[in-house]
Amino acid sequence: MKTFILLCLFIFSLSAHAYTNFIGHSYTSCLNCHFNPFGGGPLNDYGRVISATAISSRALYPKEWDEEKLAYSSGFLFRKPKQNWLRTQANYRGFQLVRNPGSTTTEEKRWINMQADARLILKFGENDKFVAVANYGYAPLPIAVPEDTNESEWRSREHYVGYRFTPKFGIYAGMMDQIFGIRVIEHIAFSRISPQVAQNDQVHGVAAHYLGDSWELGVHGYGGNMSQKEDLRMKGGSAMFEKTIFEHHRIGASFKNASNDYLKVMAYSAHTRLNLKEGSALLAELGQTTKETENGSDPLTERFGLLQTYLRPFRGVYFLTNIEYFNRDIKQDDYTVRWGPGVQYFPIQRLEVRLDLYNTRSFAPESSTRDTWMYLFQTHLWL
Amino acid sequence: MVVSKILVTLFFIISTAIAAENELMSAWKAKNYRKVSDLYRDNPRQDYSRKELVLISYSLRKLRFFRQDIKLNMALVKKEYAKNHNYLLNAIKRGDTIDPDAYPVALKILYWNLFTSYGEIIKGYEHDSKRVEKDHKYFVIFSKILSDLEFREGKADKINDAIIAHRQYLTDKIYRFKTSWLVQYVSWQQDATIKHTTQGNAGLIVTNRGVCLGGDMGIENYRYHFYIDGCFLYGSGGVNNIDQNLIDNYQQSNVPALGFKAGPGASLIVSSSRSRIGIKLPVIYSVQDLTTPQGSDYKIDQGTPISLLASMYSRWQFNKLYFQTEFGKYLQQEQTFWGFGVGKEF
Repeated sequence: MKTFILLCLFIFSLSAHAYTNFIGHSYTSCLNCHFNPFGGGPLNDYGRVISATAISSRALYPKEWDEEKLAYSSGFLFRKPKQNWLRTQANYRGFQLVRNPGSTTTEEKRWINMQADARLILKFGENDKFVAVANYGYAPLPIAVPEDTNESEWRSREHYVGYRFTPKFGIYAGMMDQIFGIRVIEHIAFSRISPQVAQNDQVHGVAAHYLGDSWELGVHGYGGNMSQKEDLRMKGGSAMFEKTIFEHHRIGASFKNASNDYLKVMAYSAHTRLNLKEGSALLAELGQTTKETENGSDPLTERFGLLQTYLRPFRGVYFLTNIEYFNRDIKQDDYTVRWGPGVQYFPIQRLEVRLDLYNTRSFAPESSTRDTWMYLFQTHLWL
Repeated sequence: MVVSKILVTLFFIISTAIAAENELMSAWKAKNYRKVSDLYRDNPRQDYSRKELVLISYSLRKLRFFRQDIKLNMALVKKEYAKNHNYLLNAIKRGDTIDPDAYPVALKILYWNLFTSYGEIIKGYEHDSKRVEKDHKYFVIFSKILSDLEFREGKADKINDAIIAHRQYLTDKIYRFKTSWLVQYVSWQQDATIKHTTQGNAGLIVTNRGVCLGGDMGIENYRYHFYIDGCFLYGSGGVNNIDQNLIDNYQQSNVPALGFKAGPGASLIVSSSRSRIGIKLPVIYSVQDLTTPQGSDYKIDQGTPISLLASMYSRWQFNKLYFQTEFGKYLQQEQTFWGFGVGKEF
């Protein structure tokens, strides 16, 4: 056991997105498994071992392979690194998107390469107190970007340096995801899109993280994404506070205020992450975003909600339900509910396959429309 | 004459016994445990030597004849160590301090055999019963004796843990009657058709939302839950035409809807908090009165008010309270039903 723990402390590193539902495995803080204390981006050594020994199924491994052997093989290219200061990774995520499945007239299928990137992590000092993370790769441009744009699909997704002055307190500077709410991997989630904290909303700034005994605080000040034109950069700040309750659960609140020359965004939300044991979890977030444009129109307040539930019948398999709520203008009664059952499977370490079904229903006093359907079959590989 | 008859009989008995002994030893040497056991069973009252009894006991355990082994070991204890045994039992009853060194190792091994044999018998049970309870009582006695004699304590602890876990498993396997009530926020869609005597038909879509109040009853063990659930639907919805070719804009708001949803379901319990995932096959009966447009040329066909659904549901348990989500699709129709709510088990 001692060997195993020591192993966890100095083996490999790698990537994955933030799986906030892993609070169901009693990991309340993202810092346990990620270099970024707010989750997302590269996994630290411990996170990789957990991915191999607790998250992924072991059904496809020979029976004689024990957990220690799985832990040893969780490093980059299945090897234990020869030094302790450099970690590398390669990461791919793509999915088959099918809209209106089964419709003879409107069915639309396409394969989307969502992410293909290389990551480099330098780390030094006791408990990796200094880290430098670079993440460069392919990511498709948002659909809203005109086709004749000069924007490249190859770009830096994040790059930052971090220094933990004490195990409890650290400062991080560079381009990172904004600190706000539950960082779920579904970038189409209303709770990520409405407050503008989705996968293309990284900003350059400085973040401070404090990890208390039963609480966690993050404060982020930023000057926008420096790769954008000056007038488009969202400058401002955000903060998130989380408190552990009943030993295994978390409640939290977030606030964001940012603006550029055309838009002012103020968002706040409350959330909870509940550990329902043996990998099962329930996540919920409810918030509002007020958007004020410079063209003189009235500010618009959106309301968003997220309810995500996970059940783990067997190691490596998670059944999930994703329920989302979105009201584009809280002064109006119209709202949308997106309901999605799904299944997530980690057959072996380094491989995740996931099937999500999305059924979207609009509610409006003056109209009734047919639901829209969509399903995603997602593949995620990492080395 | 009588003396000679007695002598012949004695000779015959002794010869048979010697032959049996030889046969038993030969079978043992050939690792033919079945034969050792058969020889013992054919002649259990024979005056076996202590060594033979040990070999027979080993063979019985190898063949998983634990009850016979228990009888044999108890006989050995009473025959060879009656005084020690009685003294030890009395000392334990009185709560005296036991000196483990005062008891022979051979007796401790016999106790160990009794302890492990009772353990194996308990592990062999697939259902809880009075017999399990009785065997467990003896298991606990020998566990206590071994603990007081400080004999193979580590191994005994492991066996104790395994037996506790197995008894828990047997208890958990028992199906128990369960009921609960549930209130859900629900939404469901329905199709209808507006028909014109000369201009044809146009589809209508009704989007309802409301509450469903009801509960479930069924049987549940540690792993599975089989039940029937049902709830009364109350809500309202908006209606629109989805085809514009017949009527420009047929629209109604807040049309009251009433009905019920009921059917069988089964679920798999996946965590120690008793959270679960399952499927249901309910029927949904929903009626609402859509207004026919003015003019006798129009007629509204709402189809059958009963539909069959296939739905998936998940439940997150917080002791007696639970949170539940449900997502269902009408069979052979495009519409869906979904709901989420809270419930309480009785």
